[in-house]
Amino acid sequence: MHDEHLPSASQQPASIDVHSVNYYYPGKVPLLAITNASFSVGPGEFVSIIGPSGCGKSTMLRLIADLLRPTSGQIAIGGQPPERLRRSRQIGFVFQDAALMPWRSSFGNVMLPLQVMRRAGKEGKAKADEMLRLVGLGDFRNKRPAELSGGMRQRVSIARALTYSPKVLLMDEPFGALDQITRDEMNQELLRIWETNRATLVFVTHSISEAVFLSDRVVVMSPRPGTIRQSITIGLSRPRLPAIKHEPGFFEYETQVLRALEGDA
Amino acid sequence: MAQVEESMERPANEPVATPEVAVSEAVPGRSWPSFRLAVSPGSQALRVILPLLAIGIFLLLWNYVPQWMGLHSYEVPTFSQDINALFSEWGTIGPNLEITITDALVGFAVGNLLAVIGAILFSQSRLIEWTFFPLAILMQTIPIIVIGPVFVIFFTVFGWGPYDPLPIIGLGSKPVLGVTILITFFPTLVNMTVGLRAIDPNLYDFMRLINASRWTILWRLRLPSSIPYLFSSFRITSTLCFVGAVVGEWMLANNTGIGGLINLFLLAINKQGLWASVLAVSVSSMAFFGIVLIAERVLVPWREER
Repeated sequence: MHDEHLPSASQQPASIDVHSVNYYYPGKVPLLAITNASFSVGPGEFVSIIGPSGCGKSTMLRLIADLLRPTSGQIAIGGQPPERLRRSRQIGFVFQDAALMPWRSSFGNVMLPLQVMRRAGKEGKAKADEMLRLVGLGDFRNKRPAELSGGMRQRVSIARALTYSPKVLLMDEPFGALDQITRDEMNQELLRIWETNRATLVFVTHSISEAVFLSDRVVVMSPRPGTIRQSITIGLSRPRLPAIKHEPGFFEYETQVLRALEGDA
Repeated sequence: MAQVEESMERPANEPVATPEVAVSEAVPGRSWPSFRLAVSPGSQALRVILPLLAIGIFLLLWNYVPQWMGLHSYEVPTFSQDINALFSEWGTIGPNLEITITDALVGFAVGNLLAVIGAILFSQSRLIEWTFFPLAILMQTIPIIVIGPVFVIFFTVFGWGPYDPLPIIGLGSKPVLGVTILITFFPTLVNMTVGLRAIDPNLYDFMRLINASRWTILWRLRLPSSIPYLFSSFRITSTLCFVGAVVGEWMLANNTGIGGLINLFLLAINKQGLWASVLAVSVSSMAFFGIVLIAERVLVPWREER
């Protein structure tokens, strides 16, 4: 199945360095959202950011994506400012609600970035189809989002983020709105896709078990103003299968993350 | 019959299927979201029968009530007399209806086009919106019956003369077009301005993420997002343009179009003819409204049932 023709989504995974970043939400009274946050993600690493609601984890992702600019501090992706990567279209992003164009088919949605990049030719179309097959939606290429389930919409969104082979992939609670069963299934799928493509992946979640199951490392944030509390390396072997959740080691990591969240680590 | 009743009850008893539910068993080949299908064939039929019934009853009342109240048919002609007049006066009504339809449709097209262009400019620059939107509102608040004569004077001063049906690309008469354009412009300007701004913020962020230009965002995100809003406006302006055309023709008093004909029939105390010509415009206007609805169904299939 994973023969040579399978496209690699990441050209070359890049590292991410976040260095003492502060961010204020703009407004009449600026609100400190993130304070003195520093962490890094290695090339091809899968890192989850976890924290209580409103701790600024989504904001952190938007800062890395250059959708927001830090008030102070530096962010570098592969040694370059995020803006340069965004401008050269090397950042992939998956939103919590799939954020698909309702008037376009799955295929049309996956083609969108390629059209914007003027790479919508034969090669682009083949690539989009390949990505749809990679996320398991080959038979649904002509369906519009309204005809797809929540899980399927997220698959389209992931395919859309991968078509243009970004160096880093950022996911903002992509499975937060799904039911538990679909969510577990999507986690499994995500690992399968990531293991064939190995982009640097930053995954925001508020589910401890999801974070432990997916990640090489879990970055734990404090309540607002968010800062990095702890970074926990998950030493579970890959490929990870659902059964891993019943192993004692899994529980230990979950407990460790929970303690860090509670602040008595 | 029992079956029909059962199927009519179904939508009420069954929880409306959410898209999530719909897709876990996603039927390939099904081209509508399932909640559309939740409307059973029985209630679809009702949606045709009930309005026809209401119109039928209204026409019957029109036909008989004025007579019961002691009014003579030359004061309020019966509906059947109006229908008869429609046929007997068709030689007069037909050509004038053609003029009115042309005035209405050209006005509709030009008014909407100008409004879409205006809304696009608004969506690209807050400064332009702040500068011109109040002016657009101001123009909207001036009654059409005041604006109409202004158009007539304007066209007269520039030597085009109000009493000749003036050709604009060989169609319609210019002062009337001024009225129809003005009357269709505003609803579309407002709807499209909202529509072009009502974009999914995450989709907008995604477009920024892939470094899409302002033009690309307009073309690939804003315009498609606004099409349902455009059709909302079409529903309004598709009938308004006929009102505008008739009022414009009536004010011009150059005896052309249905508006002109209304003047003539009034002078001739031919009330059957008057109502027959009004009927002709109403039916044309309804037909155009229907075409707009069908076009919406065909062109905006992603729009959810409201």
